[in-house]
Amino acid sequence: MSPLQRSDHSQIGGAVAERPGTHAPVGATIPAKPSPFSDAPSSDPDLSTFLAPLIRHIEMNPEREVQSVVAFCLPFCDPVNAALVVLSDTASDPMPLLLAAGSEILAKVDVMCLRKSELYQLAFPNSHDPGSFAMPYWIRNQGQVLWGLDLRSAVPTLRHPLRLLANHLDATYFSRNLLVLNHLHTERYAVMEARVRHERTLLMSTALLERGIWRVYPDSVAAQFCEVYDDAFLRDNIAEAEVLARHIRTAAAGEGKAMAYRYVWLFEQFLEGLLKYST
Amino acid sequence: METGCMTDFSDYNRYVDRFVKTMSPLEDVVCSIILFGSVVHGTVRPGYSDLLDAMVLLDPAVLRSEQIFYRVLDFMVEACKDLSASGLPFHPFGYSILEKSGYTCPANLLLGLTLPQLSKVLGGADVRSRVQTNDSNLHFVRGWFYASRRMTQRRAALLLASADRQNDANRIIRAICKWIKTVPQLACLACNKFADRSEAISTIAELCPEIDAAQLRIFFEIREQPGETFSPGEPLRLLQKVREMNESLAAAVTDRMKRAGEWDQLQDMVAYEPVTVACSTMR
Repeated sequence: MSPLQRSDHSQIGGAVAERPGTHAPVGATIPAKPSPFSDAPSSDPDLSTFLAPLIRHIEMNPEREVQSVVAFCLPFCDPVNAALVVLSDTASDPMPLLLAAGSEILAKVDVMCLRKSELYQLAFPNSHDPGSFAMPYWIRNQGQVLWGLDLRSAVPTLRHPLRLLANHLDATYFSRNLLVLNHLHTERYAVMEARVRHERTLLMSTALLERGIWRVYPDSVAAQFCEVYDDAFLRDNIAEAEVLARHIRTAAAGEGKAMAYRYVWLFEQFLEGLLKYST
Repeated sequence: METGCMTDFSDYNRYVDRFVKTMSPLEDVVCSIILFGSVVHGTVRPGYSDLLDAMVLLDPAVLRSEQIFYRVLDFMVEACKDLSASGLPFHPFGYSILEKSGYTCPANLLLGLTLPQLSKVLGGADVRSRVQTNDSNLHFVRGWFYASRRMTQRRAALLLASADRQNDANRIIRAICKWIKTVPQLACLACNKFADRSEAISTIAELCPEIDAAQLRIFFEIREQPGETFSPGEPLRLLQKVREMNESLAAAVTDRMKRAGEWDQLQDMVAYEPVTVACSTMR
């Protein structure tokens, strides 16, 4: 199976296809959805075309010791598109390579340069960016090898991915002060709604990841969450929050306070409802 | 955010007192207010340090009544308005529910919130012994450290590749300030050692002697310098140094984990073989 095709398997282990060491052609597209806070390109234009200047530089500069370039998407991150550039362990400074990528690529694609022996770093979830928790799964299972060796299976995952939701809930310390209080006290209710809505989608994606589901997108995460977590209280909460969010967005300036408070109340109830599912 | 306005340590204490007073009508539902950070340590840099590193822990009853919750929210919002009007650099305090099992926080906040020498109970009961973290094995905070390394690489490259470099002096200095504010402290945590921000450089220098602590201190000192006070080319030179230090720090932390005998344990925690992960096809 080509790494570019989607698998319909209900369970996938490791990389989709080739064994490490095989070469993959440049081409085809990465499915991606734009982040609500991003102006990054999604699947159009073709990411491999977009990254072509970087690939050309790699081909012309073997001294950079690049072994592989894998493009993938992180639907809950900003930017949505990412590229993992794997260098040999003897490679020195990755900066000339990043500079060669140029500002246009760097602004729109999260280019990560790691030596092969440093790939273990990707297994650890970044507590400050729960949207990236599923990154190893996206690389392993849906990464597109743009150049060089297929090293997707060399990207490890946590052996026991427990406590993802618990740690994400701990990190809501930052949502409560930075997203809620920060915007309520300045009466930026629509901004608060957008940020809290984003946090809700992240929490749902983490809850799904804890159940082993990694391929999740912002526009369908709520439906997916409600299907997997068959919880009437949370389902009603999500439905009401979605309706309320639309009203907050269209409220005249200075008129949104009561709705904003209700939205925060629903968020707190949502957090409380999720707590019982955290391991 | 830095205001650079004329302030002194007493202004910070005054606003902490005002905050406690504003919140005092909520004593029936506030279990505890814990102050932490520079005001407690006495390391406030007037005009630069932020108000207010505090955690308000609420009774679970707050989430059983919408009206009580709104009352609490009203007081907290008012407190934020008052603090932000102080003219001091400000970010809102945190709040959460103190569950029966206690309160769990991110690992980077745990010791700052709980150690008596780093925190202070402003109101309510002393519940610091009930504060825990779910990241006791530091997977998540290490993930943050390594992600910071990758993000710094990319941001540094983006700044270095930008066409209008001279006009980017302020942006570069801000990026350096942000890096020095967080990364050395995260590096300490990744080495399983908590350090307050003000002590992070000396702590990481002890943990990883190969790190150039003098260079880290230079980055720390430039926090108070506006971009325009640097000579042309200086911010870019400093950024290159930060980038190099960023790489050395990641390598040093990994070496430290190996020296501390944590490496094998970490390798056991990651899987290279296929793991059982469901792939929903729903779109």
